[in-house]
Amino acid sequence: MTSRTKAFITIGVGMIVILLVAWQFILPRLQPHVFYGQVIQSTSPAPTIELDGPGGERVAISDFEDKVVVLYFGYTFCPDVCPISLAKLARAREMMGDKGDDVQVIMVSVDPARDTWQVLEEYAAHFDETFIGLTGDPADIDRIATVYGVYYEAEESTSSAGYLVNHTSTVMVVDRNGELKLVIPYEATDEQVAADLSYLVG
Amino acid sequence: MKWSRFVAMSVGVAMLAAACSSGSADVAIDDPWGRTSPKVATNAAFYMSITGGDADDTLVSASADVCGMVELHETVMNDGVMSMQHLPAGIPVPAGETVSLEPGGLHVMCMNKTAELEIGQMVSVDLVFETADPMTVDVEIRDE
Repeated sequence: MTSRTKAFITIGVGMIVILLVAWQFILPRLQPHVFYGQVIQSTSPAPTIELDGPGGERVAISDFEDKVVVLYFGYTFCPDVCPISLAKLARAREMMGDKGDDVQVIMVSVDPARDTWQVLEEYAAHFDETFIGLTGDPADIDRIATVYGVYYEAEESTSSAGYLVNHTSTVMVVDRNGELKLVIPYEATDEQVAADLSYLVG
Repeated sequence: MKWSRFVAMSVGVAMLAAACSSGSADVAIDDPWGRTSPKVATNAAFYMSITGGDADDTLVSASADVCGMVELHETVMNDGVMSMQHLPAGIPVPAGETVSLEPGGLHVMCMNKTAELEIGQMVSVDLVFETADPMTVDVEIRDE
């Protein structure tokens, strides 16, 4: 083999290695992330939320401005859908590894008459010790739900539970710029939630 | 008697016996489970598959020591709004068909829960049917 042939082979192998690396690591980063959730095209700050949180302390979503804030509107009397959604968020956060540290999940009660901050504190932490629950004056919660486009309504029922609350079961995501960025539907899988949140963490 | 004929007859007798014992198929429950739940959560949901027996039947009620009261409910979604419907008439279990009680749909609703539901725990739940004999199932508490 001449030294010229050797040089060609070396260059050829080198180019193949470079192409493989590009294909494996660089191209995926160049492709834009396709959100599963519905993207909100707005550059205005997410509407203020300031309610009673763990320990009875007032908590505002702006307290978490360096994090991606995930808002879930639900109630602790709800045995089926709310635990499904919160357990999914907990699994998604775990899947994200270290990036999960930059996610703050907040459950906002749509049943302030029954959900005290004490109940919510224990309830939210059951799913993930970093999760918090917020409650407060029904008028404040009404106003917050309206600006976030969340529908809820207490419905009298034949059930002995007294009343049940019909509510929008979506997840809202506020990005690190404090802007309402994403609405993730109930049907999203753990992986889809993790992928969207990971992208927003950056 | 030839060996092969003896075997054939034995198999025949065994099949006949099996056919007789399953002559009246009963309602069968598969994989009863519930999610872990903190003590402060007033209510919890239990899920399972119910396969109907020979005749149409209905799961009319349920009870459990850990629940102050149990009702049968269904989660329904309309235009993104979730609501829970109380099913006072019970859950129909057609003959031979499997009805799935699963997250986001039909469930046994455990109300005024008196304890935390911890992973690995077995909760004894009594099921009452319109015609089939009542039965007790062990609901496994797990994460998903």
